[in-house]
Amino acid sequence: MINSSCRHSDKTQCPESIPATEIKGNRYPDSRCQSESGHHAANDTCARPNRRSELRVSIDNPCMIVPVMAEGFPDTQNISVGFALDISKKGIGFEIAGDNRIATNQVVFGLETDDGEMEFVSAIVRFIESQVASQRIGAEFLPEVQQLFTTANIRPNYDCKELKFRTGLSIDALRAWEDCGVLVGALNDKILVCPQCESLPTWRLGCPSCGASSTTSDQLIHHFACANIGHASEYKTDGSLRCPKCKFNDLVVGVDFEYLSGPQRCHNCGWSDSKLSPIGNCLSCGLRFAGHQALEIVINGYDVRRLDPLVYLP
Amino acid sequence: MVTMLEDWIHWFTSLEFHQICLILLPILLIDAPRYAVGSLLMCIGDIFYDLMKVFIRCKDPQYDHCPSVCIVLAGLNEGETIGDTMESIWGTYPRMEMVIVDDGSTDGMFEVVERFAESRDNVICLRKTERGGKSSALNMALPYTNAEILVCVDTDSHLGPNAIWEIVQPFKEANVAAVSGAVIARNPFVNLTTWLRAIEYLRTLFLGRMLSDRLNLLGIVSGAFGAFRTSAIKQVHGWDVGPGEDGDLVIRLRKSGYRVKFRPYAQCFTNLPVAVVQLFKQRRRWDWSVVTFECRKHIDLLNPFHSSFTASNFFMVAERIVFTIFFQFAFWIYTIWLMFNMHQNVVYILLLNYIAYTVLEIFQYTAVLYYSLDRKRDLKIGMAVPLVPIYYLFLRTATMVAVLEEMLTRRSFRDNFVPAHVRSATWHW
Repeated sequence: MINSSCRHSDKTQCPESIPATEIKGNRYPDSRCQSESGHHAANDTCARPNRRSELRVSIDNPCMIVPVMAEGFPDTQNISVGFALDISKKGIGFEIAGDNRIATNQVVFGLETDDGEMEFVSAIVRFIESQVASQRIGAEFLPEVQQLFTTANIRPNYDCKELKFRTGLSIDALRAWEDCGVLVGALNDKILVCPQCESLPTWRLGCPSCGASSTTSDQLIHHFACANIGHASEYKTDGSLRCPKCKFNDLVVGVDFEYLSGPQRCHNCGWSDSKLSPIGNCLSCGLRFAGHQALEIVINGYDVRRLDPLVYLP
Repeated sequence: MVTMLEDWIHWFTSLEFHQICLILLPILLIDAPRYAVGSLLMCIGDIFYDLMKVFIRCKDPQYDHCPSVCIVLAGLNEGETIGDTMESIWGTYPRMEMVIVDDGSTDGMFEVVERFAESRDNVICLRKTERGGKSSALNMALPYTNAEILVCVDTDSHLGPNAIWEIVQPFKEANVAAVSGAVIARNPFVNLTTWLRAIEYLRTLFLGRMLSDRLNLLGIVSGAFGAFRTSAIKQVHGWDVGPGEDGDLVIRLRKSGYRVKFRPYAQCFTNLPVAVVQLFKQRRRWDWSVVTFECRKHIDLLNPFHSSFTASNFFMVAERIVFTIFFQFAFWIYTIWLMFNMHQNVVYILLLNYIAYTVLEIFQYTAVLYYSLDRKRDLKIGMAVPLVPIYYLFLRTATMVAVLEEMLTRRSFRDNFVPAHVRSATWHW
């Protein structure tokens, strides 16, 4: 439905018909908000070619407006709901009940679609017109690069300098947006990080006692005939293998004995055990720590249903 | 029935003393001297000792020896039971580490063990990709421990209260290399087989080993629950290929000059074979080792000119050979002789033997009850004592079969207890 004329029968209700001098409470004066003629056009249309060159479509969908505070946090105390009035490629007009002013210039605008879901877009409030029990607001969509929920802001990216996974918006801000119902969180991964600085460490197997990497594994020999299991070095004589228990000579692998992997030994502290442990080494703060001391953090990514105004346009 | 009893009494009263002795020869030669007399004397002595302690207000000794202990659990396909076993042992002793060896299981045993070890320090899990037999599995633990005492527990057994504390106390004496715990039935009331087996365990493995210990004739440490001085085990290079590797190790330790002790209140509860066939097989396996080890491998202990000869070792081996082999033959020869020569009174003779055996068993079981930690349970088990003479006849049959097949065919070296590649490589004593 293309709105070629103002949908308001009462011209006094049309925000476009109100002279700029009569606009109350417009905290964000913008020359574009003000009527050049100061009255409705003779053909009763709200369109002003030099101000609103874009095609507008009248809609009547429920909407929500979340003011954006500093550092990208939502102003959860001042979330407003209302109805969208019209939408164009560049902006949207909507009406919200009450006379509480939107606290910030930048808002996240949510529009309910026909399937009952909300789609969101970042916008700048361009004018506010106070009514008796409501406000009519016109907002301009921010360009793609200035949108609040860009991929860089809501998806974790690896920061090569700090060796951490980061999102453009802080985790707390993203969680707050998730609580508002704007973002949908999804588990990307769980990673083990340095317990001291939360940077990504390198991992290797090492001595569980001191963390050293200078370990060796002993090789054992199981002599079938006498069930003796001893270090391979104990079996070695001049060029052949001799069981230290039963003194049997010239042992043949597979027939007389088998090799078994023996205990790991640390050259640094003398520790000995059956297997090595994963040892983390933080490249950022230099901390060396055992695997069980590592901090497990959850890497969440967020998603948002983006409002595409072109969907509403012919 | 009454008439038969009257006839029997009449027949019995008509017997001369030497005739009674002749009829009861197996009891008088084998069972009475081996178990009953000694057990009763030991029990009477202990009763007097305990009374003396009351009078002089002597305090029971406390656990004052606390060496480091390594629990070794070696098993094959024990995934269902090993978790409970590890839980029952862990934390019952302060200086404890645990080495669990999976001898090539395919039932997920190693995963159970790894889960247990994840949250605990001092638990080492070892896995053999190919089954090598119990001896090699136990030996595999040796390079991984520096604990003073090695305690071996069967993977399907549970330890009683303070069992580890009890079993390490005899190691205060420097020449003690091995201590046997008491193995008690965990499932005595499943059927008549387990019930009678439970009596046998109490009589033989509990009371019998107490007596052997007092006489310094103990020649075996239970594979289900035994403790060894690690340095001594390493000195003799651990276990040899089985079956019967527990007894073999103890004999080798004794040959090296060490002593072996028994601790009756270091108790381990183990599952008994339920089926008669299983019991028969287990019994045969035990008795093969008498021929393999005492009669062949360690026969040098009977040689007074051998360097390792000692009187106690001599009597230990001689006792096993005489009672397990020689008197078994004698018993069956005598029985056959009796059947042929006194066949007109066979029923009376059997009844007389039965009564004599039962009386002997009641005396011995009374001694068991005196030492028992759970008299109520053991009294209930003892209700089956009148059936024990028949059960022992069954055991004698199993022993006879085992001794014969081992003597004639070296049957133990064809048994699946040891994997084929080990059987073919080891020496057939």
